[in-house]
Amino acid sequence: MTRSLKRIAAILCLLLPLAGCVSFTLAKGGESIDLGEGVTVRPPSDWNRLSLGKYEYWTLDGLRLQNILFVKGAEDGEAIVYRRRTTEDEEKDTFPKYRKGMTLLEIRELLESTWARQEFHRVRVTRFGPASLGGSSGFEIAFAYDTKDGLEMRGLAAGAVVGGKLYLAIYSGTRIHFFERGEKDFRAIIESYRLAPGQSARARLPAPGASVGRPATIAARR
Amino acid sequence: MIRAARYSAALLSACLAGGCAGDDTSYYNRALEKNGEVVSQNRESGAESTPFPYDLADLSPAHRPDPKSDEAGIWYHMEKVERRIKTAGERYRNREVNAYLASVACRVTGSYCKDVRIYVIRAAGMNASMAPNGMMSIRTGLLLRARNEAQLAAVIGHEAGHYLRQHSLQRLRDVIDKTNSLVFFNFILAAAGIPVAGDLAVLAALGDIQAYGRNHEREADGYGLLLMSRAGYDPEEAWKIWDLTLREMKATKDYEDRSQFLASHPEPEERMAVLRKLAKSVKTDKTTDIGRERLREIVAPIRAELIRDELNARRFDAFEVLLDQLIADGDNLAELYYFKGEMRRLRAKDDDLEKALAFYAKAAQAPGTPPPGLKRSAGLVQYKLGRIDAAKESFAAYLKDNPQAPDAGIVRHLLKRPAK
Repeated sequence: MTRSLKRIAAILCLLLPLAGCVSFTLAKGGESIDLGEGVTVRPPSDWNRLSLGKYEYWTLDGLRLQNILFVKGAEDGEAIVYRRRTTEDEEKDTFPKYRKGMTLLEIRELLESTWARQEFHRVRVTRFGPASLGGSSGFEIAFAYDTKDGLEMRGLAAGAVVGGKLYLAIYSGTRIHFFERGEKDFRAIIESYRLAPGQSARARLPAPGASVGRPATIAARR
Repeated sequence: MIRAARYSAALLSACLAGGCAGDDTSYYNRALEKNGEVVSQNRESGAESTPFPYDLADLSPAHRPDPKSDEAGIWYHMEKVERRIKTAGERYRNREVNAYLASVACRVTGSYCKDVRIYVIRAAGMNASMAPNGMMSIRTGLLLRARNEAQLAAVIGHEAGHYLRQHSLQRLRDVIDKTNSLVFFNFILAAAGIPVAGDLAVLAALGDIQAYGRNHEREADGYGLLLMSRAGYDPEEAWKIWDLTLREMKATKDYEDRSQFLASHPEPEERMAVLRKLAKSVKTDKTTDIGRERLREIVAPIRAELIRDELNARRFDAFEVLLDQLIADGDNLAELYYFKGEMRRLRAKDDDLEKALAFYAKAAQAPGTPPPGLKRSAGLVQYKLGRIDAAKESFAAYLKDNPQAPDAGIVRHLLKRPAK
């Protein structure tokens, strides 16, 4: 019984931000956006932004259609979470974690096993090569997977380890239409990615009046 | 003291309300007893063979519920679930595996073959489940753990037993009955001024509902045994699958903390002991099929990916138990030693990295085909241990064998600048 209560709590934690308790703000196209933790990017067009501190989601049309997850410096021993972990996983300590000193091969493995634990099914990595992110040498990974409901998804992720912390930008969207719709923007965002770790996060809270509410298509004027 | 007496009174009354069925091991025998009755009836009437479980079931083949019944409600719900499962991402679509499991299920369920639909779910761990409308789901983890087709048939027979006896429906009715009585008793108790006792009554009812479910599991075990042996499989294999499960369970951290009171299934020790005993009573010279080779042929080409699924669950101690069993069975040892190494590389505690290297070396020498990542993993561990020259050699060997691998670019990158 306690297990199901914990599950309900975990689901609530996931749903609350989506229900509007944490609101989306607008990341204006063409402007330099400070994501906090020393990360800035310049999106070519408007995106909806959902900041959860170190983790941040962006979307054009809705999180389930396409999204970018920014992980702004995972530390040694930290799990790379898309969603909040269930308490069960935490108790048993079986969740894959980032470790300082991991090679790029191990980071790929970390991502794949994290995805497997978060109901990304049939994950296929199609390309995995060296690339730079924010001026640091890192990697780029192209992948595909199916959602729990069997929807086919495509993904593209870039990452680098800077100062022992893992920085990631993971883009994914439905294979039909929505991945392609944001792909060019994502590449431009990665190109514009600047990283100055150690800088204080100035703009972690959304500016007043910047809220656009739910992740509708308002921001997607392209 | 008065309080304690009140609690006991409440607990007792809740039990009375629910009937307090409790655990009853005679459920294991029900299928066999019914079968015995059918056999002796046939003998008296001069019929030669035993008709297939028709008379052991609560529903006939091609059964559909009365649209006005509570059963139709459950079916309607399960049909929605089934529609979702048909397109679900976790469905394992390997054609050979699906066809194979469907054929084993058909052999076990006989005239009910068309009523039982198998869905293979890609997931670690040993589990299978049965819905009242005939939808059976089987986790791919079972394919790693069943050591032969007869064991697979035992599990499928167990699930078919739930279907034939309409356990889901019985259980729903039981839950409704017990919760109804619970509401009534809480009302009476509250009126009598015993407020806290309501919680105890809930607990008692919950325990009782679970015990009812455990009896269903016992009955289904008996059906599994009967169905598999009717299909010609060796019933001695049924208990053996629990042996591995028990060892895996004991290797996990929370085994000692489990609650027997609220458990959904009887203890594996009990199931093993009873199934082992009952196997002797159904064993004949016609029940000899084990089918190890047939299962092996299906599993061999996909085994590495299934083992990877288990490794991703990161229950390292249980993983080790499973791997050791597979090693004892002896198929493609190169693959298994590779995964022994992989587990240690991922756990990376104490001297795990050294041990990982030793297992990789063993994998390279062992009979069978090691997975393509062997040299890459070895290189990775050597790299972490600071043995750069050895790492370079391993990575170069990996690239030579897998020049088109999606990660070839990264491995070349590591080769260029391995030292920090």
